Amino acid sequence: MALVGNNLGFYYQKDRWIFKNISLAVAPGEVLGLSGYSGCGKTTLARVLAGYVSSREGRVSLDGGTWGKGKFRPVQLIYQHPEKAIDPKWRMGEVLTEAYKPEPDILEAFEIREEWLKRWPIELSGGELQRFCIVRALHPQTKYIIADEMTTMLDAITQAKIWHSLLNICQSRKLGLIVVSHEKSLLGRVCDRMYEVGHG
Amino acid sequence: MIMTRTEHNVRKKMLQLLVFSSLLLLLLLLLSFILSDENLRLSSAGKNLPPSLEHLFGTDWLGRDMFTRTLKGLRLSLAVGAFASIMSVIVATVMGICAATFGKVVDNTVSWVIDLFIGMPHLVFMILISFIAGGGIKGIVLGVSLTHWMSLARVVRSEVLQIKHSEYIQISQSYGKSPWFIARKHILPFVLPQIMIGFLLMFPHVILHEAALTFLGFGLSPQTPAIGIILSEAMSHISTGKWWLVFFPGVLLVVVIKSFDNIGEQLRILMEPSSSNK
Amino acid sequence: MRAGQKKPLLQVDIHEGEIVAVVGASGSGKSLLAHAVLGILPGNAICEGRIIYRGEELTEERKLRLRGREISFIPQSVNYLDPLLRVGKQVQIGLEKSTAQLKQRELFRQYDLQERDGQLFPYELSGGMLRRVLFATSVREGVRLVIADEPTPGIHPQALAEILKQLKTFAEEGARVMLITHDIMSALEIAHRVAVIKDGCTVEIAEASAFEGRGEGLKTEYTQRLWSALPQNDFDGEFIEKGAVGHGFSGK
Repeated sequence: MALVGNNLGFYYQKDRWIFKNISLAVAPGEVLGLSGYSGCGKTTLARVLAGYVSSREGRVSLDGGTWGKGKFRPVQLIYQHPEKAIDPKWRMGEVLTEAYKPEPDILEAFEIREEWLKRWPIELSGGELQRFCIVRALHPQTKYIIADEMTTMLDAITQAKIWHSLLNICQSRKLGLIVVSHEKSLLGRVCDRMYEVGHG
Repeated sequence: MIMTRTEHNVRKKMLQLLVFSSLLLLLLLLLSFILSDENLRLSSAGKNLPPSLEHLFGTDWLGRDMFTRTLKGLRLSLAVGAFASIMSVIVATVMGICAATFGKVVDNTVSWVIDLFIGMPHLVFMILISFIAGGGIKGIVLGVSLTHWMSLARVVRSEVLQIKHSEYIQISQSYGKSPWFIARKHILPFVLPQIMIGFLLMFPHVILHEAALTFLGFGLSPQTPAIGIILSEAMSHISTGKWWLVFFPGVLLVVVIKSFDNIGEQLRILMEPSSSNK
Repeated sequence: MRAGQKKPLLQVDIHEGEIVAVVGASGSGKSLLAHAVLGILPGNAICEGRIIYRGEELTEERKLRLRGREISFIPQSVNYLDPLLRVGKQVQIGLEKSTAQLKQRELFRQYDLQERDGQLFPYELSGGMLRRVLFATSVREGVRLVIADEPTPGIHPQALAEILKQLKTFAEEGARVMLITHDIMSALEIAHRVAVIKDGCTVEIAEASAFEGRGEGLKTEYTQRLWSALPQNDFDGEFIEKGAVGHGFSGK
């Protein structure tokens, strides 16, 4: 039972590897940190693990198997820029319920206010939008979450608040969490284990 | 810090222009319904009268009131224009979305067709099509709508390509949403403003080309009161000094077209926040 | 130099040879402050208040005259470079015509760029090199005010140290430096004072030395919370004490 990446390699142009020979695993309830400098392939690795792109080498397996096409993907990716991850033409209520209808307690945990649901995405701040993205990713069928620089653009207070709530939920639901960040101090705070990507 | 309020005035001016153009068009449309067909009755007494208060645009060689004729002609032209514009907008949207979503082969084919159509001389192509279709309103609508969709299709295609890989659409896919759901809920709302404005900007083109086709004798039959017919008939009377027969209908056509162009252009600017900042 | 905008109230002052860090969340108005001082706000922006520069009001005309000469800007993104102009030429803009080429070569050496790199277009250079080119464009004879807008996002520690060192050099040569960032820790390494901005208002302008320990030296509660919420400090401690569900993760 784990999300396993085995010997992963990826390139856009042939023989110009962005990363190679990466093997990692995250078990349910575990928090794994991926660190590395900008341009080392962290984001691409996150996209490979979340099934957005397939690796050129090696494979990703989910609890021993793989996931079907056209179905809900149990590995959900949370992006760095929430304003890009939300359709600007949708009201926040529609955004929130695109995949499922979240329970009130989870909305409360992320302090999502009722009146926000009627607003347009541009009327909310980055921190508020990011909370919607997180709640959206916490679908009942979600087993693993990959947070790619999730709070890099936010202020320290919002960052601490969001991580506090997310870690609580991941622990109670036994979700596996991969945290991608260049900030070592943050990773040190939230992760059980660390994996360093790239060589500089 | 000095920051003048001119930006506000520019916006206000644009809105005023928009309202003015729309009202003008509405007025012309209403007038074309109000004016009775009585004025078109032949009368030997009032033949070839120059413009006066009674006959604003004068009368023609059969004694028909030119103002009434012009307005009724414009109404038909507008109806034909609206229909042909809608047709070509539909063609453009379907072509554009298909090119952007159904993979390389479709994209290449559509792009090839677009290039082919653009490569042909506009008017010649239109004449050809309406001639094949047998002239009349059917010929005009077909000819115009089949030659005007390309540039809008290109815009739609590039818009769709641009958001196809956007994060929110990828997320929607990761929820297992179908391509149909994504096209309907994410892509269509995104391109809709473009399509609306494309429609408005196409309108004047279509009317002008319809008039041109009719003028050249490939379009509507001589009995129909279309603006192109009026103009082509009037041409033969210019040399005899009856300038009003061609001047007023021509000016009104230009005014109507400019109004539509205005509306489309102002809306485009108003709806594009980045360009409205200028 | 002082800048003040009313409603929301934004006030910052920078003295000669001083580095003031402007810290705040994204969307709090940090970049707009920089753009207002430079006079590159978008046309529909309405800006009130006054900017005083060296004892005189900084009018739009004066901004235009000083921009790129006395006032230099290090933008947030390398996209601010002209994609169609060789980088060497871009560095020469604003330099004394007769010596521009010499000076540009000197700057390239200083920033560890090869001489032939000047012949390249921006897309042919790596991100780190582009950052250095951006810096080279900001170094001008007699620069009196440097505004750096988030020069350090996701950059690796070595390059970060380099950038901070350069900003410090500017200040030591007598320029006023405004460092806009949301990374308090790296700002504290060089800044003398820190202006904390929230929702377009200045919350507090604190001495850098006040950011220490549990932040007892900080005047406002918001700044204290901001300081203690850093992963290096208390992080989510605040929310645990509030009696939130579960427990903190500070122990890990």
